Amino acid sequence: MECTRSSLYWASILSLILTASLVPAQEASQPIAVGFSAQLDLAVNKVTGGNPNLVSDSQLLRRLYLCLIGLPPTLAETNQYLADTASDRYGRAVDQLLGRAEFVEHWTEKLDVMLMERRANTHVPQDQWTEWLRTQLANDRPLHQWMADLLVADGAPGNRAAARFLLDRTGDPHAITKDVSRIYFGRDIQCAQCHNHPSIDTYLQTDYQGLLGYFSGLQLAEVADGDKKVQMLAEKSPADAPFESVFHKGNKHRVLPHLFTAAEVAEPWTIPGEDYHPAEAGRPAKPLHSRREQLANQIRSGALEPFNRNLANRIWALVFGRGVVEPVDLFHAENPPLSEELLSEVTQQLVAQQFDLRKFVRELVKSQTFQRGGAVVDPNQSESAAWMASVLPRSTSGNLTEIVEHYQRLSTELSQARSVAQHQYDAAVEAELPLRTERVNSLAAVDTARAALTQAVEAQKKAAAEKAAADQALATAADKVSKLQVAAESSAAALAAVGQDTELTAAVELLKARLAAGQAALEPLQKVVAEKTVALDATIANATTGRQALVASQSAASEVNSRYQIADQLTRQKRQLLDLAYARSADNELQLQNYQLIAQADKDNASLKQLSQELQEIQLRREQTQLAVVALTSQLEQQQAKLPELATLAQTMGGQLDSKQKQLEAVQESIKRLSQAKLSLADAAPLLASTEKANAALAEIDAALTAVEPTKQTAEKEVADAIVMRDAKQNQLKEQELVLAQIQQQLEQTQLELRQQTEAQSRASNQIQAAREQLLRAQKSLATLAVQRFGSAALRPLTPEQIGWSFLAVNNVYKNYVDKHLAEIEKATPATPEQMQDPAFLRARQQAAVRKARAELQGNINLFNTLYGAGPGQPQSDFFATPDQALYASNGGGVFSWAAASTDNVTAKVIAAVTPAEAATALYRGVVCRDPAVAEISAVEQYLAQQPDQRARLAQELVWSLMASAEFRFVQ
Amino acid sequence: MRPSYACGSMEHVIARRGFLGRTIGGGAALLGGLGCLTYGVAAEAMAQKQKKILLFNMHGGLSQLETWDPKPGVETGGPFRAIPTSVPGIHISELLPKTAMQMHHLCLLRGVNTSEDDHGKGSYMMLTGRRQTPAANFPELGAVAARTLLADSNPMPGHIRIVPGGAGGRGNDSAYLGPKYSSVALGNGNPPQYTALPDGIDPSSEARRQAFRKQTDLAFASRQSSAMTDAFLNSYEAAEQLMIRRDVFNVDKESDADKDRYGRGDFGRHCLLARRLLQHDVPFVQVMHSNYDTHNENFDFHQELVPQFDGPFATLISDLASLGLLEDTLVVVMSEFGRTPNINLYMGRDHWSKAWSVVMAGSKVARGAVYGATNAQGTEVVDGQVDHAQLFHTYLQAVGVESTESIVVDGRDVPLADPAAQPIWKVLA
Repeated sequence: MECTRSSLYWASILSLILTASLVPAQEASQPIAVGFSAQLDLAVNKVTGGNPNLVSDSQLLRRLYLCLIGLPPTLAETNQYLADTASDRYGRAVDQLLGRAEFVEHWTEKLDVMLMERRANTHVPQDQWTEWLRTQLANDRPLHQWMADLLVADGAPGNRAAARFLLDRTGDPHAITKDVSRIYFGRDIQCAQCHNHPSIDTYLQTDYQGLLGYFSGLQLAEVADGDKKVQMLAEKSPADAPFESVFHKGNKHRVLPHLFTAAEVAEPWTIPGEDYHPAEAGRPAKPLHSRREQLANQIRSGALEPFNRNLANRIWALVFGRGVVEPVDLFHAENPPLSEELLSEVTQQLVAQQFDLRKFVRELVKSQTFQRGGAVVDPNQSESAAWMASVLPRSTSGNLTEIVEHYQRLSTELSQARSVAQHQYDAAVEAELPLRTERVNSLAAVDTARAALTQAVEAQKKAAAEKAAADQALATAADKVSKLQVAAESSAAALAAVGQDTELTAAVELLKARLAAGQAALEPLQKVVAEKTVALDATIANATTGRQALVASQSAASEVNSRYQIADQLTRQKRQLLDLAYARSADNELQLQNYQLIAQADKDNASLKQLSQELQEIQLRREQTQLAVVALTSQLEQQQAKLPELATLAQTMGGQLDSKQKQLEAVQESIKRLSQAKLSLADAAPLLASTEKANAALAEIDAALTAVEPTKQTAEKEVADAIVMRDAKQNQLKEQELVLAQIQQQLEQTQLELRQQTEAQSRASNQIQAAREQLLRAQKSLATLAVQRFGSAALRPLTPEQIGWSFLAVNNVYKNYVDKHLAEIEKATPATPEQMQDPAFLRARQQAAVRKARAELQGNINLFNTLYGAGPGQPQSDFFATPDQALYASNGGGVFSWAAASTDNVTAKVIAAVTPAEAATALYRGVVCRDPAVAEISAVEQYLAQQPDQRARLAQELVWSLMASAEFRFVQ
Repeated sequence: MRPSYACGSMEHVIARRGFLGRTIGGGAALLGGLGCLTYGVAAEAMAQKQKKILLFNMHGGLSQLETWDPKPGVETGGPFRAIPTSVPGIHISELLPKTAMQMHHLCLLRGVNTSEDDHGKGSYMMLTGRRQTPAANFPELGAVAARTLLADSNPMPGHIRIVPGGAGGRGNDSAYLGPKYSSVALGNGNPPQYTALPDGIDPSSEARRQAFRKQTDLAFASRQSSAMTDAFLNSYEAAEQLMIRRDVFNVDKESDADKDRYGRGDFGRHCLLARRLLQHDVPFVQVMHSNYDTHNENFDFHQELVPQFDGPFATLISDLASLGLLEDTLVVVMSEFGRTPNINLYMGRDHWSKAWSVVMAGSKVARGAVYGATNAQGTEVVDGQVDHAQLFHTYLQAVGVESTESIVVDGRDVPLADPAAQPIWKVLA
């Protein structure tokens, strides 16, 4: 990356990373908390709203029992707890359970699984190992002490249990490094063995190699244990090797033991032949400087943060179902704790409680956080301020839009800051590369010198041995000569005293000859001694030179190393800054996501509200339109009803007109005829004989015409009237039709409106539905976050052991076995009346019976472990459900038969119940530790009514059904 | 092409490396619907295209010289001849006359070099596509196949091993993929454990008690819906489906004619069972034939064992082809290694991983082909050298799985196959 801006700019960007808190915070209103449990609640509530819903009393009891002793409460225990009305009943229950024998048993199982992950017992039998773990827990030995012991155990005969952690990982340095990293430090760095981790930027190959250094000298060594051979762990002087990334070859590096971003542990230079304790008989020699001992000591100090944080997180996860860092073995900057404050608090508490498991767990389960209920997901409750309060972090102030914008801005800035930090780190590494090479070379020179010295020391040893042998030979010969000398002298003296004696003379001569021969033989031997002395001196000189060379190479390496350490310190600083940048970014993204979801829910809420209002208005309008349609329709009908009458009237009028016209026509006809008669008469008059008669006739006709005139006028008038009448009616009819047409049009218009409004209404309904779904999604995501942040309880599956023991416990099979063993113990060693009054005695006796009962039942549990547990050496915390589990629960082994009635167990109580409610209560309380709902009571009633004569069998089936149910499989 | 899944469960999401993608993605799996609960239409749709793998594990180390890469007439060749096959120009050992007639379906890889002569380590490498290391454990091909090929709507187990004996049960072969993808062993071809009702429970009480359990579970899931409760409910549905389909595992239901065609021996029966399972859409079936570890009397043993394999294998290949199953089924014949060209003092051949053969057939694999070659004496690969990691990639590619991708397991990205290796594209049509 090209750096073109001023360093001031970069400094200001980087300062972002180091700023403690950028969240608009509001802390004052919190109550002053007392005790760790309350502190813990505060830390949780700060990042969540603090769901006020607590789990029900009986479900809390089940949760607590399973967490502390791995068994659900029996029906009797539940009844007793629910009947207890004292306010301190929960605290008493906690203390009582912590004191039970099963607490140690259950946590031994949990820690065994955490440490060994169901590996095969290759070198140490399971019984020996669990007995050792049990002893640590029963005696409340600090966790960090005995976990450190596991790393330095050597598996010597008679004391092999603690070495199982290393031995059953075949003593292989890589297998051990992988698991120590995961289990002790919460970092799954196996992918960083041959290169930096491909997907987690902050897991480096140097981290892996640095941890490997603590174990690289380990190997298995066979020793005798009685008449058999066993493997124990030998620790050699470690041979560190240079390494390089398989992806980017060429830059060789070599590191000394160190933990992740911590500095390398300085270790003394050693001289071959002077670096081991003297070997004990039958055991491999131990190095003076044991690297794994160094690691163990750091752990034992109680101040090793990566260890403490991981351990606190892992125990937290065992109690709460998930870690503050989750997955528990992915502690890294891009996967920060859901709340740093919470993790710090919990870690501090673990240290403050001096790593005492019982005390620590006691505080955890007493918190309100442990007693939380599930998350609230209900769109109907979303409008309530209470819901918003339950999701909104307590530290929030300001409006949501601004907060979201704030985090978005920060997101951009932090990602810039990360680039800068990355660049600076890369530059530091780049600058360090020549020193790395120099150090690799200087250490290689030390190795060479060391190898040469080792050879020289060996040669010196050999030469010394040879010289010693020569000395010995010479001494023996010289001794012989001096003895011959004495003999020769004394025999010569004897001869002188005795005088002539042939035989004695011969003897004296013989002695002299032997003495001469002996003296002659001394010379070559002396020569050999001289040669060997020279040779030895040469090897001594050689070794001295070698030693000097080694020391010189070491001091040269020290010098290089001190320069390297200075560079590396800078690199480590830059790396810490980079890690911090990653962590701040990741944390910011979490905040952003949380607030975005809340803002989303808030927006969805508002739009839901608005849409509802709109819908209401549309509905109102539509109702009005509907009324208008009804009114118009009835109006139309009314007006239509008038139409036939009007038509009839118009028709009648027409008829009347016709008849009047006919009358008029008749009158007109008679007038016409009279007029014609008159004309004819007038024409004919001159021809007529009698004018008188003609005149008379004319007069008669005139009279008749006159007479008819009024009739005609009347008729004419009537016709005219009838026309008026008819026209009036016809107009009326037309008008009516017009009115009808108008109403019809109006009606159609209104109906159209109604249709449109109906559509609008269904549109609005759909929108509301969509908005509700969107809100539900946001709520679910928030619920997930709330669970991740312990604001709400997680649904947690039972462990394989918990499933097995629970199956046995709810039917009293477990209790019956414990009681049986108690009776046997009592029979074998009856208690005195005083002992019966002694709580310690009774506790010890109970413990013994529990141990025996569990040992006897363990075979069943192992079957559950095989079915419900993950494979050997795999992480055991992931949930899975397979058909073979369901098949086993349904058809396998004793599961169904365990549900058979026996004295006082749930099935017996269901059989004996008088009312359906009694039966259902016994069933649900006894198996899933809650009271049945009304519908469930009637379901039980119906079930039992199917075959009343088979009540025992049906009761057994019911108990099985609940045991096989999801509700039994999980803890709420 | 990646197979499509009837429900978009988290199990099948291919990893995308992204800032925070892991943590958030992991959490989101906590909540989910009951979408995966029903078998039916989706299952039928799936069945059309269920890709499958059939693996023959020739336990002990099959001799390539007495089977796929004969060298008659040379010092190392042994007594058997090479015979022509249904593909002109390709010859295999005369111990495989029936298989020779199916050569047009097969692809011989004669240049396998795995450099590992230990049974355990060789077997591990061939089944996982990785070299064994103390610091890591890898899933076997069957587990990877089950994980990538098995639809949630398919009620059959995803990973089946037909083994010569034993009671059956769950294998320890899925490493970090988890027990869901571990093998279900069918001991001597018997149905999975606990698929029959126990004494004292008749079908009517079974129906009654399961109905009550289911009612309780559905009520619980409606209050506490999550990926975990879904998985739990699914496991009971799958168990029920297995009980209903118990006959799928019962090879006696096959016709007498077919039983005769496959032969009445154990291996013939196992092959017929394998056909039956593939016809019912089990995505991975492993059949074992043993024991080929012939340090002594190599030729006598191969003369006895190879013909036991030849008949049923050839019948199965021919059946798969005529039933149309070979289109969607990859067949692999492998071993932990081959056997030395050198014939030892006891007329045996020893462990040999430098130059041996693997056979593939079906799905996208080239037909009637030979890839790779050894020299005249069979002591060295001279062309088309491949190793366990490349083969592993190729098996996955052959059934449409993009082997160079990663999947998300418990919040972490895991490559499906060795990222340092690539598929052998040349054998994929």
